[in-house]
Amino acid sequence: MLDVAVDARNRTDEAVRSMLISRAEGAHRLANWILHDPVAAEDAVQEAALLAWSRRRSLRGLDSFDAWFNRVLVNVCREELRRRARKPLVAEIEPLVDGAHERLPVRDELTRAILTLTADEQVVVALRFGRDLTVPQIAAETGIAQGTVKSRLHSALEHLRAALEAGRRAEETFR
Amino acid sequence: MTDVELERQLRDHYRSLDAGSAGRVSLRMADALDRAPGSRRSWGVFVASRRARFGGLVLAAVALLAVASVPLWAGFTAGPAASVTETLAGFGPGPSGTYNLAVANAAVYQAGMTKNGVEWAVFGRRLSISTDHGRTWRDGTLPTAHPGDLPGAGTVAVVDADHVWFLLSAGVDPRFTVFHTSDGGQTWQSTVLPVNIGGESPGTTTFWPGKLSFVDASVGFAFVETSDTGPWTILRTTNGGVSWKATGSAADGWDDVALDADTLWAPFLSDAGSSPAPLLQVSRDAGATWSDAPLPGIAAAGGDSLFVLGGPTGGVQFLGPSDGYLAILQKTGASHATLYFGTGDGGRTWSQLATLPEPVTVAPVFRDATHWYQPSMASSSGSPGIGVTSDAGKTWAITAIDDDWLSANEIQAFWTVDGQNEAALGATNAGGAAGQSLFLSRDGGSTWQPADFSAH
Repeated sequence: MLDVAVDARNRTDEAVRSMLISRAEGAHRLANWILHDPVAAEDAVQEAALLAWSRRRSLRGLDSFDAWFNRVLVNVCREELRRRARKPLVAEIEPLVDGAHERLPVRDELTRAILTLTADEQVVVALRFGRDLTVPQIAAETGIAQGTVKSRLHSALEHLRAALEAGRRAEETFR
Repeated sequence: MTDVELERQLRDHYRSLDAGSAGRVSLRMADALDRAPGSRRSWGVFVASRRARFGGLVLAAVALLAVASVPLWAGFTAGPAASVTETLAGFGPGPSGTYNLAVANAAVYQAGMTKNGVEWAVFGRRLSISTDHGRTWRDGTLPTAHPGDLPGAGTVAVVDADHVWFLLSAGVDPRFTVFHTSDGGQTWQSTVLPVNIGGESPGTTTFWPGKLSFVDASVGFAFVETSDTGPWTILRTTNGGVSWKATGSAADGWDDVALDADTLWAPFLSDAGSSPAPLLQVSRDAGATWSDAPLPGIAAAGGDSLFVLGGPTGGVQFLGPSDGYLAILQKTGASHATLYFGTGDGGRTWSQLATLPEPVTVAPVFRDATHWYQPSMASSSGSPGIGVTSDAGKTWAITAIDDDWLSANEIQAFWTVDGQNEAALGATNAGGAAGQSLFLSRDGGSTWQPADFSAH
């Protein structure tokens, strides 16, 4: 009987391990959307994978694996943003993909503006516009109330809009 | 810049970040997992991530501190408007005698506390109710229509240990159904709300936001969104949920609350400037008409945006027919402040009571005119903490929640029990399938224990 239980646990562990690895690239994309730093995103994915592995017994069925792991990852990224907020960060703007040069100034401003949002706001904006999740889906993914998601999105968008418009005004002044 | 233009730029922005790692992340993860404790391929050495190792050290340190319950910081001052002192919360043994992370890890979707001290929590379809401040729990079951249906935020209302309502607004059936029980979830009756939902194809799995706010065992309101673009519909019951009648509409019902059978409060988001939109509205005819409730000093306070903080305890909190409180988050560039307001005349006039020069993300709990509890206050380490004031926000003491389970999360709710310096805390759970963990404190937030929902 014990052997059967141990065998079942080993099979589940193996399934969790396989699922984690198979989600690694997608997780990296999500972490990069939130962190705007592919290297930090890679670290976050590793940390999330190890956290998830250590808590794999709390996974209630492999059907809920993606929501479970995404929540772990989002929380790790949020913690990383909070760590950054405690020390000044000079954002490194990555080169753009070909064909997007005409949007370079806008994107630089947008990246800077995004990095001034609070950690919680950056997370909901990334989930909304990077992953195209709805408000209820973001609430489910992050474990926060839908009203809170909505207010954070609103607040973040207003902040971004104001920052971009201020940047444009400044640019016009210097022309 | 229009909303559409900004959203397009954001989508372009995130699309441009889609750089693959050519398999490097997968390989690194496989290697890390093989070395992780518990792996059958483990080398017995945990070397994958500097941060993970640091996290382990933090956990060990916190465990030691939890045992000793040692104050860690003192004398920290946050700013001129309020002084703040800090301690580190001690996490004591669970009710069974051991600190049981499995218990702490129970996924709680919603939790709350009624005004008469009844605590309740929802795990998936299970409803647990306690009448002895979390020492023992009685279980019931939510009557969801489909196995995958789970209660959304605000869809469960509890006024005492027996009377509970549950609004089902997700699934393949595009209807709002309110279930009600008068025996603590043992048996349920259902009523379909008399509203039409538009804009979705039949048979499509949909989610339509909605929430409940009950005044007592008879009177309550349902706020439901019935189209993507129109206002929310407000419905009232005066017979405990047996029948419902539309009484009005609201621009946005996410954080609307009912004070009595006619009075509803609606907090909003607002852009500051020369003519800021109202932050707070009240209806005294069950949502048929609304009027602005001016908050003095808000226009002068300025800022890029302002909004009434919402959360599980509600954006606008009335402790009785006259005394009400709310908190507003003010953003000016990258700076934030939290402004606290109160009324003593049922909301006819409001006055600013205090200012906290830092942001919080969740509504506080107001126990009375001077004792407030503020979740999501950041400690000097950046960990989330609970701020407690007993002088109406002039001074704050923060208990930092630096436990491994909670440090990566956000404290979402805090409830007091009968003003006896007891409290309950709900916090999101990084490791759970979905939902929150519930921790209880019986000493004003200095020490915490995971709620033991298995105790009956």
